[in-house]
Amino acid sequence: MTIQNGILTKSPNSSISQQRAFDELYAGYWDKVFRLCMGYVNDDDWAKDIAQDTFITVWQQLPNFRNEASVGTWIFRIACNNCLRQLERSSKFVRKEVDKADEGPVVNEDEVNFLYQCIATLNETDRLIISMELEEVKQAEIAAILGMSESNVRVRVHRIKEKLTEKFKAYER
Amino acid sequence: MNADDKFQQLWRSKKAAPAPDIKALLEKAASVKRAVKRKLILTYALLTATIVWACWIVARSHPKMVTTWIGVALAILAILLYIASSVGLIKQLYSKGQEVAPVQQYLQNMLQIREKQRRLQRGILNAYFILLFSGLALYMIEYTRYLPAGTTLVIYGAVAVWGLINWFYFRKKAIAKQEAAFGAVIGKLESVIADTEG
Repeated sequence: MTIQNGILTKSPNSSISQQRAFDELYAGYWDKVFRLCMGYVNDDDWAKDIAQDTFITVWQQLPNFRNEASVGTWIFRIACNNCLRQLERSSKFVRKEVDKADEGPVVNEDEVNFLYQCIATLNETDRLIISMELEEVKQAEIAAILGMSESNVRVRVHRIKEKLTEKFKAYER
Repeated sequence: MNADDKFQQLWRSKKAAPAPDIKALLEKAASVKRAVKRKLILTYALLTATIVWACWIVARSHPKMVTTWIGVALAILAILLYIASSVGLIKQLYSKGQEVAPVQQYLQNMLQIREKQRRLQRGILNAYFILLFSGLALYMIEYTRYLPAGTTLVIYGAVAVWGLINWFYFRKKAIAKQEAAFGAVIGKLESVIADTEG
């Protein structure tokens, strides 16, 4: 298995090449997947756990990957599913950081954390959409990953950015 | 800098947690697999031990009437059903390797699993109480038939009262607890599915 331009090609020497392909994916996508998970849960440890689970699935399912989508899209899809699986732990879903963001300017928090807090106030789908948008995943791919129309994604990205801009304006005031 | 660029820059400035060592990650995958296996083995061991224990008790008391045997069989069935549902065996039967499915399909699948689980667990809970108490009633026939009628009536009355308390209090309470847990997750799943469809 080798990866070229997001396309995975299989080679006969499967176990060694699978390990190599996985190493490459792990190095290339860990940060992206971690940020996506952070965008969803806004909690470092929790995001790390989801990112780990995502790569465990990637490792387990890599031999079955069929190149129906680019490998990046495939990984983001697994990451989104793992994020949404957290719905089953809904009682654990604490939004204490989020409430602060709603209250107005946050003291002693830098802008990076504020952005992640604002994203955490969005609903589940919007959190995933904006996280992938900021990760520079194409809107067509976001639509394919989430099973939405591209126009719907475009409209929602626009609305989410408007909301974020308003919050940042209030924060900077 | 426009807002878009600023958000992008801030987003990327988030320091990612260091990626765990690949060996540690794969070890975690293997240990998860081992844990699932261990849980399954433990479940089967528990089920087998329950059956052996019940059979041993019955064999020692040398029951002569068929009602006693039926009673024991019903009680064992009730216990087996309860153990199977409490260790999440049902969920394991339905969910396998779904993480690579498209998001909407994944959500639909999660929803279906939860709804099936909700129906099954409710059914199992009802069946558990019915089987257990009818089993007990049948089992007692052989051992109460030589007792004075008054004593038999008291014993059966006590079992009936205990059964009713279980049915109308403990069963209701257990169902309410299950419903609250399932209802919250199912409601959340439905709202996300509706959101992606809208």
